[in-house]
Amino acid sequence: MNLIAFFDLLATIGFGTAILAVFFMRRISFDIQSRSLLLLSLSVYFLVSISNVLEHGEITGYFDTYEDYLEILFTPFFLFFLFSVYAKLNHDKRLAAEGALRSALEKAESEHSKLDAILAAIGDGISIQDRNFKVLYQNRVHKELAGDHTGELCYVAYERRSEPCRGCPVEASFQDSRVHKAERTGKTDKGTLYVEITASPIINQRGEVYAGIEVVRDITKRKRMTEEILKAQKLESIGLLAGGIAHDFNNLLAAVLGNISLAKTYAASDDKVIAKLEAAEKASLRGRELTRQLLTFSRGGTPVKKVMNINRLVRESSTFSLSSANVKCVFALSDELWPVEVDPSQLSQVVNNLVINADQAMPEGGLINVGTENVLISPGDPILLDPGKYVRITFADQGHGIAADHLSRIFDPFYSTKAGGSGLGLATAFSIIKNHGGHITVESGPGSGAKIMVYLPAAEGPIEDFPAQEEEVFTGKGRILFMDDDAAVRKLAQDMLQHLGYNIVLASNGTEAVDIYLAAMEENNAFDAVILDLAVPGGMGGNEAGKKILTRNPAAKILVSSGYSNDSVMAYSQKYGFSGIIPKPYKIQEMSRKLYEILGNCPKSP
Amino acid sequence: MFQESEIINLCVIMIALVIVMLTIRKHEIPGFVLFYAGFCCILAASVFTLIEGVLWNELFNTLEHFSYGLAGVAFAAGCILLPGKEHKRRGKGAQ
Repeated sequence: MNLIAFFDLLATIGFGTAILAVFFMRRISFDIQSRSLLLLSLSVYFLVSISNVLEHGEITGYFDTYEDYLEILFTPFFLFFLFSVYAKLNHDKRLAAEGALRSALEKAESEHSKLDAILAAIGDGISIQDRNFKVLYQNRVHKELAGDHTGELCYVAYERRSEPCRGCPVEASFQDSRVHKAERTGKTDKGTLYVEITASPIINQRGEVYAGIEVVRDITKRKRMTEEILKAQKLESIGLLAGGIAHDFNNLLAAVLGNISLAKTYAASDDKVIAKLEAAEKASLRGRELTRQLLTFSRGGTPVKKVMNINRLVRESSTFSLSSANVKCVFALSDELWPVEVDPSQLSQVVNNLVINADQAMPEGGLINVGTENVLISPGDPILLDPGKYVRITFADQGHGIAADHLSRIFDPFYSTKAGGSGLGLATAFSIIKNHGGHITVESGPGSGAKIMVYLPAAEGPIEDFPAQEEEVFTGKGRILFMDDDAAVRKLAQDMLQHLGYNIVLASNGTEAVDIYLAAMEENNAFDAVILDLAVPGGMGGNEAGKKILTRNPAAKILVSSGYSNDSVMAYSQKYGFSGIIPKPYKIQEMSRKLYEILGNCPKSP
Repeated sequence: MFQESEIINLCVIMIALVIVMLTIRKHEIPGFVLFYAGFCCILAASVFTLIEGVLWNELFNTLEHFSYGLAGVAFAAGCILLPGKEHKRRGKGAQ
């Protein structure tokens, strides 16, 4: 075999092997089209090689004729094969890239959802703005606070302005790349909205600020609480002053009112004298109401509470308070009203003040809608009360309403828009209701009347009856020890009690009262009742004296009296072992009734 | 002297070579070196076929058939050694 024949045989075997490899070897990764083209191109030279081999064996005439043309076919087939492989390769690459992109997008989507869920769960509103103040993102809370304005300019969307707002914290953070804070107010359907805005810059890898993040926190509740605290502090300081004045004033009034009521009994047959005394008594009673209102501001003003249904009290006090003939109360009182624990006298004062206020708001006449109902306060409610069961008393008038400027100040003491108004009515009501663990709210607008709502916590326990006021005088017999540091009050008490039929012994302080009481006990001439003034400047007060007496004689009947009801002894006298209280100033009727209640054996005067 | 088909074949292969070279520059296909080598051998065989008509007939004829033989070996090796899908997957899994 010559060299050329060997090379031809080698070529034949080579191309033949290649064809077999393409046919049978599974690991060749071409698709069917590429395989076919490769097979065609390989077949060309396989046939050419066979032809050459056959030529060496003198066998001709099979492929010789077509050999030259066959050779030309190889190149296009091979080129097509290459392009087919390229196309497949590119397709695979594109699929891989698409897969990677899809996976990256899915990952980004998942991250975005996670971030969105976190941002939505945050209680603050979050918004992202670019350097042109275009809103890029808002979380759920931000949309609830400001509406959905994604894609809009923030100053146009939120403030209806044509340029960025002055003092905008986001703009400030764009300028110096630092965190800035600001407070803003806005009007909503629910009233004024206070928000705190914290703006932070978003900085890229080159250190440039390309956007700003704005965190908006609703601080309305915090603001209102601060206002409430300030109001309470203001009330407290005024209350201290008022309480001090009221105490001295009550001692004076005690002498005035007591003497007038006593004088009325002396002048039983003289109508002219009685008329004058009644006029003086009315003026004194107005003075007593004023001091009671002042005392409500004092630190204590501790209510003497009873569990009761307030419907009757609300109806009676409202009707009693009306002075205008052309104003009427329309009642809508719930039959299923929960009981509340209140001081009837203080709640009556609240109703009086609110009805008088509504009455005065309608000089041309109208209706005051008075209602009671049960309400449940939930944790999410905007009212500043703990969640729970409450009773709501509503007073709605048809007056001119309260201007927005005055609305936040109407419960301030000494603030009045009425000529001659003391500015104590609503402030007293507010203070009393606060002392009962409740709250007062007001809704009004110019021309739409005012609606004042009083919330009182519902109570458990047996309902006590609301006592009716009586003007009867009860006479009696027995020995009474009376202690008060004020000589005028002592003199008054002496005259009153003697007039009622009692024997009276006077003491000017607690030490003297205890000595007298113990000496009488030793002489077997004990007192039937003791009346002690609680506040004795510079001496032993009624509380300490009462304790000493009760230690020696636990059955002693002691009434405590004070013109300054800040002492818890007045609110919880029975817990201290006392038989009752008699707040100053008092009339002879009140004194006689109290003694009748504790001694119980006195006949009623004719 | 020269046969028409030989000249056409050479021209076609030369043009194809240019295309292949340009394509290789853009997209190199892994494992295709032996295919390119085989193609170059075919080109060389065509050139030798043309030359043998005018110069040293014996030598260039031998070289022509040598080139075909080499092309056959290159394509056979190329087809056998070309990494397949399964081979690739196994390689990836091992990593």
